[in-house]
Amino acid sequence: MYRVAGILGVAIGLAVGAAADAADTVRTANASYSGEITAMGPVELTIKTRRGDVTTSVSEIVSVTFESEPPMLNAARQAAVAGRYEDALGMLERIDPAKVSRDSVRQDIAFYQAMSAARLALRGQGSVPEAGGRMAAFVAGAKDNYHWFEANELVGDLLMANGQFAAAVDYYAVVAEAPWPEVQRRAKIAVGRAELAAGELDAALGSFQKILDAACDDNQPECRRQQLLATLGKARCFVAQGKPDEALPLVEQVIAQAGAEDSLVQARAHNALGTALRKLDKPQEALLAFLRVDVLYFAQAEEHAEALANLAELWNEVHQPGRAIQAQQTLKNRYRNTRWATQ
Amino acid sequence: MHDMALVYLDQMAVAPDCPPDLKPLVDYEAGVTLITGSRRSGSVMAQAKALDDARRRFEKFLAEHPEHPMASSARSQLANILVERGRMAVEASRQAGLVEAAVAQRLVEARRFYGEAQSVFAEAEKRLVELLRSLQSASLDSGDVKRLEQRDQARRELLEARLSRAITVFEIAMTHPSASTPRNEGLADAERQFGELHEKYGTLLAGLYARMWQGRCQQHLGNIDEAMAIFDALLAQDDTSKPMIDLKRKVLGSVLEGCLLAEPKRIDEAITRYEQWQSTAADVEAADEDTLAIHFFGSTAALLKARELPVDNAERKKSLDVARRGFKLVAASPGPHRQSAQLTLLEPLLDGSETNLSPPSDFNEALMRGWESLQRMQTAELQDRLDRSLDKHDDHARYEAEIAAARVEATRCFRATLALAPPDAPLEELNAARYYLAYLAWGRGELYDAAVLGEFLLESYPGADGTRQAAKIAMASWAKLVEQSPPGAQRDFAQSRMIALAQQITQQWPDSPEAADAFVTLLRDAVVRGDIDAAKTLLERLPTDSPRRIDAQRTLGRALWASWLRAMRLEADQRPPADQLDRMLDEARSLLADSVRPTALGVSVDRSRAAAALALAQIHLHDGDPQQAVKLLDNPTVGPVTLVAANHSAAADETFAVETYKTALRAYVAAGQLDRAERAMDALENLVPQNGDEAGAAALTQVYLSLARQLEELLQSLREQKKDAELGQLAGAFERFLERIATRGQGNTFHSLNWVAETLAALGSGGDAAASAPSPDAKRFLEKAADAYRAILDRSKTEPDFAPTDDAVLGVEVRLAQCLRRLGRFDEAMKLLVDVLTRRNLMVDAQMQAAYTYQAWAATKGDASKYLAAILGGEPVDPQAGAATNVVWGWGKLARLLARAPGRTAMFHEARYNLALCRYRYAMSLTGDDKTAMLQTAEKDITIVARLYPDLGGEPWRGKYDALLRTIQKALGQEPTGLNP
Repeated sequence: MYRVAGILGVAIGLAVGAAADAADTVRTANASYSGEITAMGPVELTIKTRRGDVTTSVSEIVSVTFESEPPMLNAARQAAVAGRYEDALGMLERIDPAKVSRDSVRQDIAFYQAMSAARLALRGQGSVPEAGGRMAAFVAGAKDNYHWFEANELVGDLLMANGQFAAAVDYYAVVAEAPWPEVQRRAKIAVGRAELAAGELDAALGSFQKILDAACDDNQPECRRQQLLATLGKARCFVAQGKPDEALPLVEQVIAQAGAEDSLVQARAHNALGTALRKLDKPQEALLAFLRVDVLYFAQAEEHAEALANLAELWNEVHQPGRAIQAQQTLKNRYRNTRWATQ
Repeated sequence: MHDMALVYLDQMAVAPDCPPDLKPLVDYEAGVTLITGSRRSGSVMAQAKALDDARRRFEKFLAEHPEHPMASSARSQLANILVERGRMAVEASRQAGLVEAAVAQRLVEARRFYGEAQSVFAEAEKRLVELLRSLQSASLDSGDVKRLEQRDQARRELLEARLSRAITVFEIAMTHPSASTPRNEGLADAERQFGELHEKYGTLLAGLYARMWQGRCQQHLGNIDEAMAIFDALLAQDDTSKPMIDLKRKVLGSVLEGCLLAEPKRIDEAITRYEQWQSTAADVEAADEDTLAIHFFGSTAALLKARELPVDNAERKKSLDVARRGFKLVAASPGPHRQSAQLTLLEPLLDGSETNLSPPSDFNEALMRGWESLQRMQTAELQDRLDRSLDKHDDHARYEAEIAAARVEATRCFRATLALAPPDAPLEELNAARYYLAYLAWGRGELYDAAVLGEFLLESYPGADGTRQAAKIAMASWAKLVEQSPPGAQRDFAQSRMIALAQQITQQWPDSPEAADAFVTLLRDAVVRGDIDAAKTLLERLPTDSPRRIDAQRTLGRALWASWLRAMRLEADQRPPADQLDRMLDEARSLLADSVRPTALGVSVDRSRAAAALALAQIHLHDGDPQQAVKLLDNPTVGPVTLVAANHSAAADETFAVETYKTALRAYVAAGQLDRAERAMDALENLVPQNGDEAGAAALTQVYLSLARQLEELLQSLREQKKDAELGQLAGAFERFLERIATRGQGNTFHSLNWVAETLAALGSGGDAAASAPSPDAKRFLEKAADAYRAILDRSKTEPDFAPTDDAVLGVEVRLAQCLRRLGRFDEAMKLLVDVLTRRNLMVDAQMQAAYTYQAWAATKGDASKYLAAILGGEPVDPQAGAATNVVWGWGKLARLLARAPGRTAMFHEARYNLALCRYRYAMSLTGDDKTAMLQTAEKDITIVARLYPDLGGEPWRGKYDALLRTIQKALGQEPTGLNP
């Protein structure tokens, strides 16, 4: 196992990280700034360094640590970022709030608690309404926090999981107002997905089409990726409109264009494929599409839950009732609070 | 992210506006960035690459700017990178499944890195000594703060360099085997160096660290008491500063380890110290390496203690609780003891089971644990196989449990590998995990999962290691699903996927062993579809030196033989031309002969080879060469009779054994070896399981009936080949054998006598069920058959236990009626059948024979009205009630009833075809509009059934329908287009 300690037990990069203990630190993709955070908002953050003030866009921030924050907080952050949400919550619980005097640190603790609870709930572990309430409280009380847009998006996701599609649209619409094109596109697709889930097919098609109509340069891979996701949204609309034949070529095109390792796009694409094939009364082909999500792209919780819900029915069609029960059990155990397990 | 930072730094280096003081720092900063990035790398390989890149940057910086103020820091970074690479090589050497040479190679690599680090530390030391000398030679003014700070910094760095160099000596020593001379010499050298450092700097923290390392050297040299004395002295220090607390935590870990290394072990002391620490330390649940080491050694001591105590001892439970809690903490966080803790938690004493294992926390751990579980599974499988080959079965259940548990854990870990993969995870490792998942799914029988994984790898990463094998697993999964699926859409789907995959494999890797498997799969499919030409083409594409070629030859040879048999069962006018049939048989004979004889590939006999030998023996029989058939059947290596008698695994299938004895019986009789034929007959009877129930009796009856049918086919074949001498010889031989069986004093059963009668009937058969009058020889055989049937019926009446069931007796009566029909004694036959049908009206066989009897009666005696009886039935139950309640149903009612009967497709088409045939023949006895109307009805009989059942029951019925329809169309004055309008 890789260890970062040098031969004396001193971290190799001590010179780089040393400032973190003594000051606020803002890390971006290209730089690390130490000093004092003097201004914070949902769009940008200013840090006063020895060389002067540096204002950084929130979209570029990789991490923020605060001077004199509880040591456990950074460990919890790292656990949360790595997807170990239970660990993060456990660490955050061990922080004594009475010993935290700085507002921004308190907000950071509150955010990571709400974020970890939200991600767990979206995986089906924990109460969706409770996590939603916690994150909504953060949104309401921390409008100047650099996590604000992310928090809005999470509230939207939780509302989606809870079947409150119209309310989810409101939160995603806020995120769509963020000044970063990538975030805007992601939020607009989320709006489309919420409209689709609510059965507002024309509106959903309109939302997805807007993304597809916007220009994307070849050197904007994330933009192209969002267009693939929008194409999938459009295909799902066609399926919902009873036109699976029209959906299939769109989905197949996305599967071919997206990278095999882009698990979100591939998971959504294969679920869309499976849904269209079920409509076309091709249960075996549909089973293979959903099974691909189950065996390859299962790290995408929402998509995995949808695939399992379908597999729980489709396994019976290939005379494997044991697998059907197994899929149902996995769905109930792992994603018990999602709309797929409760429908 | 770090890649972008590096790009930025490199751009800065060449930018004209880059400040001159920053340019030299580009490589230094790049090195630091790479180290930072390496910590976030998802895999060992990516970490190693980042560290190696960082190393090159620092080396370049030091080469170009050796006197730069940051040079000292760069040397320190460089040395630490080398130490880290050394440790990674040691970790790699501990991976499960490595052969000794690979372990040794990694340890050599580790020593090389540590050695290089030593050189860097030595170089740093030399430069620092020179620097200090220059600083000391200059008179330092107490107000010259900058120079004073520089001197203190140089002193600190010098001390660190010396201590670090001594530690590398220790680390190199530890790469050698325990108690070996190089290890002990290295440890002694390190101990001396640490001693000197402690002596010189004992009042400084670094000196105390040197003392701790000195203790560790003593401990690994086996001088536990000396080591413990050193550790105790360190722990007794009054200093409670944080650096000292950190040092004491490290020391306590070594103390606990020392307690366990001591002889005898100081278990109680370890437990007491561990408990004391737990009650006083500030954060006992911290996840740093030193804290986890204390938990690991403390928990090990507690577990050892529990093992010593009796089951009902209260202290035992407490110790186990302590151990369980401690191991769980260690198992939950990355660290050198994590794996041991996880394995220890499996101990039954700790209520361990696989599910208690914590899930892997990162990509590398998941991959490593998956690989280890896989190794564990394969080792257990190997051991189990080995034991069983030695006829040892005691541990089989344990191995099975271990294999199952390891398979579950390996699957869990490889799935976690996919879930935890960071964006820069190496594709080769990800794809390896996918391949293993396919392999494991195949082992669990989760065939769809295995197929999906294999197909994914083939589609997305055709060039990756393991993809070829994964594609093969996918193809094999579909093949198994074809076997397991019920006929219909599900099987067709699996078949189409299997074929598509086989085609992809043959295109992707045409010369690989996997492609050979795929060619054989495609060939079998072509054979099943009856596309013999495609099968031949595929055989030609299979490399001549492929080990699978022989298997393909056998498959094609057997397919050609089966096709030939099928063709010979068709009406003469529906068969392929004779020369084509001859070629087919020649090819079958040649392929089978080639594939049966021992080759350079070895003489081992498998099912495929045994089946090929049996098919070739059957061909020899059909060639009229029973001697050759007997020779092959008895062949000491590959002979089917030899294999069955020896219970060879190649002949383990019961169906194969039955077919072997049936062939042997025919061959022995034909070759005049009647004693052996009789023994084969007895063996056959013993082979079919008879539990005294109806199913057993029916199975044996079926065996004998099929034997008679095969003989009938053989006779027909010889007849058609105009091999009159062979035909006469065979018939004569069978006649003699049957007489011998019929008249033997004991050993005869209902079944054997029934077979005698059936075979005599077969010898008297001309082939067509409703054929014209038999030849004198045939008539003689039919008379004998009728006598044999009557004898059975007589014995059934007088001996209550002779017949297995009442239905069996009814069956004999029907067969007797059939004989009588062939002899032209229609009245007698019909009386017998009506008698049977009065008792058992629903007996379909009897109903069909009755319809055939009317049909033959009409054809032979020229009484066309009997065709109407064959169509509509006859023999009213109550003459007053009319034809609606006929005892004999006729083809019309039979077809209607059989259409709804599941599993009676062939019978339905037989009835429907004969219905149309009787109508046609009856029509031909009519004239004018009546004739036309009846012909049109006959035509509709066929066209309607073709619309309702497009496959028309497959062959031979489709061909028969087609031929009859053409005849009817001709009779109607239409163009004879048959079933193709």
